[in-house]
Amino acid sequence: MHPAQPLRYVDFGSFKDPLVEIEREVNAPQAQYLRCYLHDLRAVTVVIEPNYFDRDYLAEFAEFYATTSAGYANICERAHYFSIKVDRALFRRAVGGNDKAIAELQEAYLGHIVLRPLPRARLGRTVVRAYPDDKGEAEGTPRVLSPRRTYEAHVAGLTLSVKGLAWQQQDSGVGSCATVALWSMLHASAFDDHHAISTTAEITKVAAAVAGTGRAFPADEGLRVEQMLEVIKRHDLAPVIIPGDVRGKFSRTRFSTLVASFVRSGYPILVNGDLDDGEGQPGGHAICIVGFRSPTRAPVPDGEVAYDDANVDIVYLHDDNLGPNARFRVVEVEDESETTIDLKPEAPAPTNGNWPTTNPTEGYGTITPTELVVAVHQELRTAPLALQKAAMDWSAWLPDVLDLETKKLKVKGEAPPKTGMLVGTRFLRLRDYLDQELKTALQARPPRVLADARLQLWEKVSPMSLHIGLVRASHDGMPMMDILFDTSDSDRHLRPTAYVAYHENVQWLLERFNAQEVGNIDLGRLVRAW
Amino acid sequence: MSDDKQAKATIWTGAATTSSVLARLDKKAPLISKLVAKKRAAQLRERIKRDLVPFTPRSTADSLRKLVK
Repeated sequence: MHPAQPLRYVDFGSFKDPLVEIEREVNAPQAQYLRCYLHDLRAVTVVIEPNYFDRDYLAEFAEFYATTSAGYANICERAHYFSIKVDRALFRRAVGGNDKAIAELQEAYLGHIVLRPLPRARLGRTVVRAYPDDKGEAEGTPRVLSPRRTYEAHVAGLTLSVKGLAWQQQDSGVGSCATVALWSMLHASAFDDHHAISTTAEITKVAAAVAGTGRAFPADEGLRVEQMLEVIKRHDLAPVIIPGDVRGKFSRTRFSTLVASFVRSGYPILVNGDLDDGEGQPGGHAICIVGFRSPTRAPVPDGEVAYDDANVDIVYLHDDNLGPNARFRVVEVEDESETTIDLKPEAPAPTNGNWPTTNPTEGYGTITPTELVVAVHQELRTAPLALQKAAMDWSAWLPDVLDLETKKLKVKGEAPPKTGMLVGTRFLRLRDYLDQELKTALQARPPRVLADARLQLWEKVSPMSLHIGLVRASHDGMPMMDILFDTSDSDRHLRPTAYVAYHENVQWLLERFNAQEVGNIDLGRLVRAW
Repeated sequence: MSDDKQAKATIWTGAATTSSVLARLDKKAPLISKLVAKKRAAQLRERIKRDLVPFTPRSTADSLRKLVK
């Protein structure tokens, strides 16, 4: 029997902080990374559960560690990080039901780390809060972390919640970097409803069963891309693989727009690529993109439409060599007269004094993405590239005809208005479109407009699929129209089902375009939202 | 939504309001000639073709056997 033990309360950064212990014992860059990360989140106290049965570790134990002669324990510890001083008295008040103490602890809760009894891979499931984003919000370049979900930790009857996406250090006994990236990907918010989350041991077993590259455990052979796709299928999800467009690498537009579209849809992205080790020997590496920073709104030439998010500068990713939410810059590289992109690690400047230890992000190699692999819902049959193409095909007419019509109005001494537009794509559930997207887009209109638009979509438009492809054209920060695509058919039949016009004249412009520009644009049923 | 907030809105957070550009359109303006229309349509097709280059599907045959450790 494992002996019962009391909770421990230790100062963050002290010798008793598990991250400090790990760094001292094995100099793990992941522990250094987490120390820096939590330091900037203003961590003060660590509350340690000495006995914690972790689902992932138990699966690893059952598959591998139980039959080694090393005598590994089957139990973990779990460390909870807080941004306030927490002692036994405060914790006791909270577990006794004191509302003020509960609120205080929840407000200060930064996340938790499962500590496995594995000397070389102690960092198990880790979920940490994201940095505050006041500056990004204020400047109109907010961080987008839609794949995050809410995790609850239950300690002595107290429920603490944190929003994030789980990360863990690679444990080569049961998985590779690709296993960990797949595992994080399958935690996505998009899969909340019907999909159980696999353990790394289960992922390795499936991968070995379908296309083994050697023995399953220990998993030191790595995974082939085809195995990753098979793992996704075995989870009742559909794999999407998108290779680079410039001799196997990615152009900025392809990478940025696709990453943004997936992340905004709640799907993390497994990026397969080459990690430069600094010695000219790049090796295959997989990471999981969990977010990006919205880029500043790019100017668009009059009469033209440009992809929104085509110039993403910053992505946030889980790297099993580093840690969760690592910040990487998208940098352009001239490559035989063509421009491709690399992901270069770039930690944000510390905001809480100096880093408490070496930040391993500095000196970490650049990653050259070669494939994007994404797990999407099976019902979603439209290819992301097809939706990107549809976005251009079905929205380019609007700024074109707007430019033509505004030029007819030329007023002396007055600069003509800007007519360029941005277009963006997403996949989302129809119910979320009706509930959230329409509400946001129509927040400045009287409630009757929202009611009318919702009821038209419900009563006048042919029944649509569970997931829809959404294309939005926007002018100067204002939505002009949303084009809705059914995603349950093949790409050959991809056509708009309906369009939501946010201004009366959008409809008039469409008629005008079709009348005078040899156009024949049919966007399906009109939904009036003005 | 305040003007400042609207100015910083992203494509997904902006709110529909009265558009000064759309509101001013002259619905009685004459149509353009067939010849000009044909030229404009060709230009639009060219622009779309140019903008779609990064989204061309590529073969995944070389990707599937790649090993990631």
